Amino acid sequence: MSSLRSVVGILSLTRSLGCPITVQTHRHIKRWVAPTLRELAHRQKKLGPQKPEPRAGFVEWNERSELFAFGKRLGESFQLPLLQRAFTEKAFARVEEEKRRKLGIEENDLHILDNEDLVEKGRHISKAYVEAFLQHQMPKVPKEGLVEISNHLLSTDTLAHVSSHLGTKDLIHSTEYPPSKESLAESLQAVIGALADSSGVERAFLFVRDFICTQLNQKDLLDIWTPEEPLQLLEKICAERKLGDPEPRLLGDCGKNTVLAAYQVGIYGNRQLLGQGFGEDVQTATETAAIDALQRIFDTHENRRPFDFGLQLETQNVRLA
Amino acid sequence: MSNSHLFLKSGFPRAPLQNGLGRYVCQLQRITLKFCKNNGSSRGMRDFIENHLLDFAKENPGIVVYVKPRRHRTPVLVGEYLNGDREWLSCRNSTQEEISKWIDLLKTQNGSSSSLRLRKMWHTDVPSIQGPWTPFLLRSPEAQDQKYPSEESSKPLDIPQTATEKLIELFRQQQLEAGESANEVLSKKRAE
Amino acid sequence: MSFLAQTVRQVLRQVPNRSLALTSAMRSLSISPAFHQQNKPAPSSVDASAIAKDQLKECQSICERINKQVAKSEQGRLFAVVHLCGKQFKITPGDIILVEGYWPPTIGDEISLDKVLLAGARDFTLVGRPILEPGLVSVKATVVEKTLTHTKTHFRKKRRKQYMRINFQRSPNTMIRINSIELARPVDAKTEPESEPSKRLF
Repeated sequence: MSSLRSVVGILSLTRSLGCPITVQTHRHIKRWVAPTLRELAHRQKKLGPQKPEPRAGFVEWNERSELFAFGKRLGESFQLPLLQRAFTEKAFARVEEEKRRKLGIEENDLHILDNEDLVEKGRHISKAYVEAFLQHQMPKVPKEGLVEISNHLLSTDTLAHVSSHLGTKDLIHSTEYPPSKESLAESLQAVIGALADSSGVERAFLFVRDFICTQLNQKDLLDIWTPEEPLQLLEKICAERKLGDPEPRLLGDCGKNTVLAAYQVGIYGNRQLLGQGFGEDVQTATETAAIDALQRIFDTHENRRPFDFGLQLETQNVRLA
Repeated sequence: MSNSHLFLKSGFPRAPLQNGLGRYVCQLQRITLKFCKNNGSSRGMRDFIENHLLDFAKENPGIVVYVKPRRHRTPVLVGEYLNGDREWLSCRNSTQEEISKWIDLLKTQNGSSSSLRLRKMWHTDVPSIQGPWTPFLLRSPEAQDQKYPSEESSKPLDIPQTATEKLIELFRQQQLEAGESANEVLSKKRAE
Repeated sequence: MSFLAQTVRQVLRQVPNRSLALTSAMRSLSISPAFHQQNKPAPSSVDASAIAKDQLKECQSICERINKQVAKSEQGRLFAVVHLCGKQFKITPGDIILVEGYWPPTIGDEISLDKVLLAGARDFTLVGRPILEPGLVSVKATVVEKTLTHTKTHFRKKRRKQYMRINFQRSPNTMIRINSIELARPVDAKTEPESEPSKRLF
């Protein structure tokens, strides 16, 4: 290109030497540049939106150092082969084996280890720890509530969210890119399993506490678990915990027979106020009051004691059934 | 004059993945240093790579550092974050001190920050611990069995004295001072 | 509670011979070194001391109830108003606050915020005058992010004077996560305040 330009320059010089015609000055951007770019843009537009390129395909990519940094970033020490295995999905391993078989590699070099057992192990550990954590932090909540909350924490969405924010997205060996939510969640569980294998179950428990349990921070527990038919549940709970028969009473009202009516209902048991709530009619006010009473009894109110994420549960308290 | 901030996205402070609770995780996952081996604009970058890069990599084992030489191009810093953000910085003609400052900034950030105008310096999901105020809070017990509509509470709280009332009061005072019974005079007047 | 403290304080000013228990109870509520200087000798009367005794009793019973609640850890979520880098923030565990301008702590540092102006829970509030006694409430926090703000444009122009300047600036911001707020010791503890207050950076 530059040589071409110099040739043009010399030509113009010689021409000016030869005859006294004023020469056209040097054009810095060639006439063909704009149409070419336009054509390229046009073709790209015709192709439509492209899929994102996997980061692992770039020139600046070193799998080993990425895996090493993954562990160091989270403050854990992994055995790298185990971590490598944790990021290898089963479907990907099968596809890869098929490819190798076609290439004619010997049968005993063919097998690629996948993360199936690590996923199972990680799932087991995280479930056990989350349940123990919730049991410890919310002793007054009944079983169904705890199950609901732990299901929320261990749901694919939550796990995928955590996993993608730990940087597993680029490390996963999956058949598709970007990896699906399921594979993100599974890889996180596999990482937990690999951690338990490489530095002990205690570290894995702390990992679960620091990355999965912290998702409960400042979360409204009512969003996760709202009892259906709160009045019936309240009656049942009051009978169980000997709080007397719950009795709704109208505490106040305002703007009756208008569009903006407001009723305040309090629920009493044994002449003690259990909870109170508002509503646009007495029925909804009673229901909100019942929910409020349940929240107070279960100690799941917004102003409950905040979760202690620095907590060290003793290992024997976590039941790895 | 720059009007770019008129269309700048605005937002509220958030930290990714409840960072800082439990344990702190550095959000920069990899950094790429691109430079030219003989161009003058890359001189600072070359100095930085020679003198400080190994120390940086040793101090931060959680950050993957890539060095990418390329011919006759500007030196560039690219940081990639755990939340998927990518921050691109041109380091043309900058010294190694400047570069180490920029790298420090990339390291301490949570994502590319330049694109967001913060509207609040505070974030909470639990705004009230003692409960919000409602008109039903701390009412006087008398308000409980008040029947509406009631004559008493329909009146304004302060009715100014009318001119007639004032006159009557003045007149009474006069009468009292004179020693006559006020009622008598009043009834006399009314009779008139 | 704060109102009570105020009234007790007022009564206290009129009583020349304060009992030790009373002062310690007062310190727990709110104390400032200026307190002793402001204390003016007032004419003593039997009436005032009787009132003071009543107030003291009520004050102590309130403190006792608070301590009982805290001992059973039924106080729930605590909040506090802290003074940090010239600004006041109302915080509760899990919050995020931002400090504007240059501030030395770097990412990952765990700090404790010592200037607590007010601390409260569902059922009580401790009001400082102006700050609570150091060591009563411990507020722990972690520095999460240090970054720069968006680019702010500073443009100035004078009409008809051929004067036009444009500057761009970005100032540092520090994001802090509040980890915990705790009552470190009982409210009416009779211990003396720490002789050496902890070193503060702000």
